[in-house]
Amino acid sequence: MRKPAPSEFDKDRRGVGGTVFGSYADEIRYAALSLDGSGPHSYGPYAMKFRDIAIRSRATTMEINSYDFVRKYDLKPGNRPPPGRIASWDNRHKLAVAKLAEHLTPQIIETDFPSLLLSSAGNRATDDFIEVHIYGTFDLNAIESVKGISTSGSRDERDLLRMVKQHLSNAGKAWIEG
Amino acid sequence: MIQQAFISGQIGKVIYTEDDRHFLLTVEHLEKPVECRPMDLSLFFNYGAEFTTLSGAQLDLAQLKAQLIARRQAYRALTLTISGLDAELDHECRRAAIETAESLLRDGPTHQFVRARMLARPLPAEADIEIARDIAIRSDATSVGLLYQHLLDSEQAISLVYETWLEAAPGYFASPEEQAESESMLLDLGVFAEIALALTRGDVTALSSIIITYGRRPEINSKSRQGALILNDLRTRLAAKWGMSKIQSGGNKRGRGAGVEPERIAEGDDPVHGILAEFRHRREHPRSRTLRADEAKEKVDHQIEAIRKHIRRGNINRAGTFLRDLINFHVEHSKREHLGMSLCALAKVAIDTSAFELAEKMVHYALMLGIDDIVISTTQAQTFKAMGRFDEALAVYQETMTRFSSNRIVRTGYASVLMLMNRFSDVRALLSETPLSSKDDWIDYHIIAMSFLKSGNIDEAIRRFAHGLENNPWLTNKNHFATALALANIKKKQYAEVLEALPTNVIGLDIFQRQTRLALIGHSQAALGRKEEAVQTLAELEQAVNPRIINLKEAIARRYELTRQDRTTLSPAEQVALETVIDDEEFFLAMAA
Repeated sequence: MRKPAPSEFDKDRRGVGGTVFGSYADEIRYAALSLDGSGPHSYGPYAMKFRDIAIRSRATTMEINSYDFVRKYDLKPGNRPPPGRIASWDNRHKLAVAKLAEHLTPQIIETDFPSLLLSSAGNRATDDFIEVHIYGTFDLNAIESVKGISTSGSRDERDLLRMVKQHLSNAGKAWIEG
Repeated sequence: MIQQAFISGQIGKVIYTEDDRHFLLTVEHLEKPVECRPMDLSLFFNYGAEFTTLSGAQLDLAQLKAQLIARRQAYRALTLTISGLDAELDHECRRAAIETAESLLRDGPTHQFVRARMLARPLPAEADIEIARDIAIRSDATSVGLLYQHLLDSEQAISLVYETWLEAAPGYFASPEEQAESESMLLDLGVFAEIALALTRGDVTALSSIIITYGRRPEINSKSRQGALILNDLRTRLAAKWGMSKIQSGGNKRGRGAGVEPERIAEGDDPVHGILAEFRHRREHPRSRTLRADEAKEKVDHQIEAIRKHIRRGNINRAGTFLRDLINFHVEHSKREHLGMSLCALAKVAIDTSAFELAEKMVHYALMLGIDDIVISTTQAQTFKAMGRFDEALAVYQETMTRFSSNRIVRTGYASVLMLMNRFSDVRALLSETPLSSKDDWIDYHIIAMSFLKSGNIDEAIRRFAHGLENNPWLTNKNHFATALALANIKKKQYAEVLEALPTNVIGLDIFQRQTRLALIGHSQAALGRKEEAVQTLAELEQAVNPRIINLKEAIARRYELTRQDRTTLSPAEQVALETVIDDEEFFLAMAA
């Protein structure tokens, strides 16, 4: 059972989240839009890919991460975000085009798209991605695949990943090495 | 100043508040805390990970890092130990999990954490304990194997303790959250595990002493918690339900696996208990009619040596068999006091090889003899200390100090536990610094110097070690000062001075001290980039049996990539983790050397 966080911290941690989501900030799970199953490395070495059906009715997307978003647009609690900067899940492609149109040149090829949509070299200051906000909880059924590197790290890390891979396989989920 | 921190060993993260800003520290990036973003908070708080809240004036980043590494290791060991029971995993995967868990359980506090968790809650019916135990036995994973055996032996007791807690607890707490918080505290202290094991043994005395020992603890007895009251209630309910006389070990639903000798650690049916109880109450003890005193001693020495060898090789089953023979022999030919001393000597061997369960069992046997002996008390305290149960070690030392108020060894032991708890001012207050006349005075002086080293005042520590090395007249003390001085130089990264000033062929240096010095020398050579020399030095530790020496040697080899298999690029987090292991082991060894 999770111990409840002290209320003072709860109040405080709603800072950025509270500005964007108001009283339901604590219900929001954060993710990133990705074309190849990778996540922003600065948040951890592994990424879970959600099944579309599990989140489509309860997810929205934001042009950049909410931390920078609030600062960039000087958003205050109760303000509406500027138009064209957020979109429902079903309209995420429009948000992506609006954000990345200037990068779409005749020279660009399809294999460039994943890193264009989500660029992360492990440094939060330079990370760039479309943030996804999911309302509510989820379980194993919501997961399509998990991506990461399972061949390096400490002995216990590798053992753990080996078990995770077996459990994923038993549950019919894919492990993507990389 | 850090005002508050939330630490989760389970996911390897700390979130802390400093100057009203929130920062995230992860095991992967220990050197680079970053300011928290909404995603960090969500990942930390909204995914059901266990965490602990820390606050107080003492919080600093170095402390948080050390705690994070330790807690991460504890949770890893727990996950791997549980995974060994998982029938959905293939055999090879389970074996690897068990072997890795075994290596992590060499650390006393990690072992204590896993033991407390594993024996506190009933396992699901799918848990495959027998096979897991067999894999552990075949892999020489003694600690994990014993835990699994405990699970088998105590399954019924564990379920009963849990059910009884659920019945009793709601009457004592105002809300489910308050109950959950107290339950979590009791669980991590190991209260449920200890009660379940005592029930399995049918040991009324142990059950009562557990309730008394834990009931006195301030965190349990505080006004906001009803710990002491509920523990007493729990004992009453359990005694009524279980019927202590009817307790049978092996009253488990699963039965025992065929073809494997069961470990006789949990012993509701332990014949030794009866033998010892009879021995304790025997009024007279006639001399052996069949053996002369020197013959009896020779026989005992032989048996002790055999047990010692088996413990060191990890053959705990065989050691147990020989131990029962030794006890029988003492009962037949010797005195309770002699048996008590034999058990304590063997318990110390078990502690040195991290066979904590066996050490605890031997101390338990020694206590059953009813002898008021300082050696038994200090051995019990040392066992608790080695297992990371520092509060219990302190309680035993305190009680022993009351009875043997002038004994310096007890006071020194007490100070060493305070040191491990980072209570440096208490250490310095407890031990006198002047006058430095007796050997014990200089030992106190050495411990105080070690407290400066551990608290980060390296220059003061070096000054004191150098003073002790030069001025104390006892050779064995000199050796201790020299080893500690070398460690202080390592902390200052003055590796060349270690190589210059630390001989390994000194008179009066026992094998354990020599091995400690070799490890320090190997570390210094490796840090200076003299890898071939370091490999040669550490190769001299091939025969070492002390797990701390082995652990240290392996950590140095990995940290400095000394062998071919170690030559994989370490992440910064792995480097820090290995350096922490090296620091901890070297300090512990220098304290003990």
